Amino acid sequence: MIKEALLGLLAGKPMHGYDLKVGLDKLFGRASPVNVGQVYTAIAKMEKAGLIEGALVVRDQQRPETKVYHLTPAGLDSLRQWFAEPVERVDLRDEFFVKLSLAQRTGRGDVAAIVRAQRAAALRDMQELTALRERFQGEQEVDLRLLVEGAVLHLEADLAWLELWEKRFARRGDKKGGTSDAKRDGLHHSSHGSDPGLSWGG
Amino acid sequence: MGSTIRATGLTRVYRGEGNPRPAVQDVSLEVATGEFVALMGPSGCGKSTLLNMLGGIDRPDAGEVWVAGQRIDGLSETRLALFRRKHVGIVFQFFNLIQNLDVVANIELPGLLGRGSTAAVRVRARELMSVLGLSELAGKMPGKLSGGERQRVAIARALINGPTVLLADEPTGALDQENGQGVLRLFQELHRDKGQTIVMVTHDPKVAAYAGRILVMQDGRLVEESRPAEARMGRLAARLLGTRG
Ligand SMILES: Nc1ncnc2c1ncn2[C@@H]1O[C@H](COP(=O)(O)OP(=O)(O)O)[C@@H](O)[C@H]1O
Ligand SMILES: [Mg+2]
Repeated sequence: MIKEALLGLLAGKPMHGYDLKVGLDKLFGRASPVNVGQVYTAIAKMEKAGLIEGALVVRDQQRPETKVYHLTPAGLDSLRQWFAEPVERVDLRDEFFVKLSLAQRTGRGDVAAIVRAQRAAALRDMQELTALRERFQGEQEVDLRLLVEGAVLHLEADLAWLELWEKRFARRGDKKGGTSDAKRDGLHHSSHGSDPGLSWGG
Repeated sequence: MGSTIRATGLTRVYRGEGNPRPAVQDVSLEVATGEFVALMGPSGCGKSTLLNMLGGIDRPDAGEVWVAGQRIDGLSETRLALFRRKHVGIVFQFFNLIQNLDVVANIELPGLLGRGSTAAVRVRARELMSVLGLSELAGKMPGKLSGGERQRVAIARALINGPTVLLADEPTGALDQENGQGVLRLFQELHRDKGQTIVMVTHDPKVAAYAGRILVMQDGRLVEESRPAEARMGRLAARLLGTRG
């Protein structure tokens, strides 16, 4: 995404390297801080690919000249293409799923406790996001409020998902008399006979 | 800080046809003075039953309920009614206002039933209307109010006797998002500025998140609780705003 974000920043106005780094930090909300090295590497690649061009500019006599970058027509094309493509939001490689699968299969983790801990964390995040949303009530903060609102909605979905897992384990627990996996923490990886545990394929 | 509510081993079984699976089973909890707690869980898990026992509206089959230092589960009906009037304010999903009384009269009514002086009740009603943004609506009839306004009137009415604890059962359930948020902000203000102890029931985590502590119920039991741990709080803000690096 760094490349596309840089193209977007340069579509606004020509900028030099450091301003681009500051612009990125603002855009990403410091969610994943970008280091200067990453920015310059990306710039070099994009210049080589003909998406941007740098021109040496003298700012004042005391300081060395700096390179100010601008978008080429190819760069603008590439940016337009990115704008036109939807962003991929579906992630089926989910760490929580992997964790539950392995907890079940190995018998080394208590699935009910894993679901509970995940929900407790999600609820705390929900509390924090709610407080954040209350902070962004001003006109200038509408975009940030929407960013937080999006996180709230995702979290709501996560919580609903956890309830489905809970139901699944409750059903199985009834059948098996409610024992938890952690309680049978044997040395060999217990086979769980009838229930191989969740995983793709098997 | 002392605890305003203490419940131990609460169980409630509704007898009737079918198997008497307890609606609430062996629930123990404490609510500290000035705390804002949410009771969350899916529909039918026993939230309202539990809340009603905490407020002296319903009695447990087993267990004890202590509110404001008094044990209430064994009180006679008469004493329980007196207890409720003095210590408990309740807000429901549907506002239950009296349709042929105007806003002020609805708010003052529980105060006038008590032993306080009429003048004192009037003064307190004005205060509450001002805090809840209802001053302009004093003479209106409930039928002319929006849902959000009706719920604010119901909250003022619940607070008229200065209750030890405010109980709310799905208070935003009949409101749109904006009015719901208005009510929840009001609860936060009452909690923060007036030290009001609040216990709120909801099935919705977005609503529960306004409380300082969330208790999760499932099939009649408390399964976990969540409060924003200091170390974790501020983590998302820091990521978004860079306030800590
Ligand atoms: N008055 C009643 N008589 C019989 N069963 C009831 C009564 N009230 C609630 N229940 C049952 O008790 C359980 C818990 O109900 P309730 O406390 O209203 O749950 P919640 O408020 O979480 O939706 C449900 O199974 C419900 O059907
Ligand atoms: Mg209910």
